[in-house]
Amino acid sequence: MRRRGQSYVAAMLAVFVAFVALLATLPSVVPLTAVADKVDTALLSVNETLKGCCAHASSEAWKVFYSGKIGGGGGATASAADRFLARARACWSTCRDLIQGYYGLLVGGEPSFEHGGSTLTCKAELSVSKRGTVSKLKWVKSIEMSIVNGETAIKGVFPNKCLEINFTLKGVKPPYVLVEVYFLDVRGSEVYLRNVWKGYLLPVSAEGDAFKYSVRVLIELKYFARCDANKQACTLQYIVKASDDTGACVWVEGGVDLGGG
Amino acid sequence: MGLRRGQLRVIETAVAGVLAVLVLATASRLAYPRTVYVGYSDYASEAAAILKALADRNVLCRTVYGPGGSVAGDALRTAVEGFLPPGRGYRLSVSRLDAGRVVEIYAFESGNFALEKASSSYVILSGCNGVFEPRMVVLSVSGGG
Repeated sequence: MRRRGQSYVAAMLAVFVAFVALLATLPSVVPLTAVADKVDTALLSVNETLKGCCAHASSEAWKVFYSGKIGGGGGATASAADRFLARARACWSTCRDLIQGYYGLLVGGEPSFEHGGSTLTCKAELSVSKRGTVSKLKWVKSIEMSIVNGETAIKGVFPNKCLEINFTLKGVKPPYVLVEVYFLDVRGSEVYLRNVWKGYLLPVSAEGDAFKYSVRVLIELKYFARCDANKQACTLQYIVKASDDTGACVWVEGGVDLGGG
Repeated sequence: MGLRRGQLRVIETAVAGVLAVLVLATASRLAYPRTVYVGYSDYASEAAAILKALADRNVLCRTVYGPGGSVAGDALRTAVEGFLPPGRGYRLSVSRLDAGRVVEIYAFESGNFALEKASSSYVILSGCNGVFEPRMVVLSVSGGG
C-alpha cells in the first residue's frame, strides 16, 4: 500500500509530464500556421491567375471578333466566344498545375468562362487542400455593357456632326475604364474597322450597380460622302469596346442613320 | 487525517514557484508593454499581407506586367515600401515560369536586408492586360541588417 507522500510525488510528476507534453505539442502548431500562410498565398495566386486568364481570354476573343468583322463573315461573336472559352481553359489549366506544383497542394473544381460580346462572366468555386486543411474559394468576375437606347444619336450640324454614344457598364470599377470606339468602314468588298477614339472615361452617372458613360466622336466627311454615292449604305455601324484595369474587355455593336441616301 | 510536515513543504514550494512565475510574468508584461517578438513566420505573414494588399489594388498585375510586358520595377518597389513597416529589410524578385524553368527577370534588395533573418511569401500571376505569361513574385522580409 502506497503512502500519501508517494501520491503527491506521483501527482506532481503527472503535472510535470502534462507540462512537457504541452511543450512538445507546440512545435506541431508552427507547421500548421505555416500551412495556413501558404494556403492563404495559394488562394491569392488562384485569384490572381483567374483574373489574368479571364482578361487574357477576353483579349483573344476580341482579336477573333475583330478578324471576323474585317473578314466580312458572319458569326464573329460566336467564334469569339469559342476562342474565349478555349483560351481561358488552357490558361487556367497551366496556372493550376503551377500553383499545385509550387505550393504543394491540390486545387479542386473547375471554373466556368463565358463571353457573349457585351457580357463576360468568369466564375469559380474551388477548393484548395493541403495536409487535410481544405479552404474554399469563390471568385466571380462579371461585366455587362449596353447602349442606352434613345440617347445614342448623331448630334451637331454638318460638317461637324458627331456621334454621341451613351452606354452603361456593370462590374467595372471606375476610373480605370479604357474605351475604344471603332467605325465599320465598308469600301466595296473590303471592310475596315477604324479606331476613331481611345481613352479613359469617367462615368457621368451611376444607375444602381451600373455606371453610365458618354463619348462623342466626330464623324469624318468620307462616311457621308460614301453614303451619298451609294444611296444605300446610310447607316454608320460602330463598335464600342470597354476594358477594365486587368484588360478584361466587352464590346457592343450599334448603328445610326447618317441621314443621307 | 492531517498532512505531514514534509508533504506540506512540497505543496508550499510548488505554490510559491507558481506564484513567483506569475508575478514575474505580470511584472515583465507591465514593464515592457511595447516589446513585440517578431519571428520568421511573422515576416512571411507580413510579406503575404503586402502582396495581398498590392493584388487587391491591382498594383501587382500592372507593375509585374508593366509597359511592353517588362517589370515596372520602380513602381513595384515604391508600392512595396509603402506597406512595409519601418526598419524592415526586403528582397523583391519577379521570375518567369517557363516550361518547368524559373528565370529571374527582376530583383531588388534593400540595403538593410539580412538573408539569415528573412522569411518569404510568393504569388503566382498569369498575366495582365491580355498578356499571358505566368510569373512569380517573391517578397522576402527581414529585420534590419
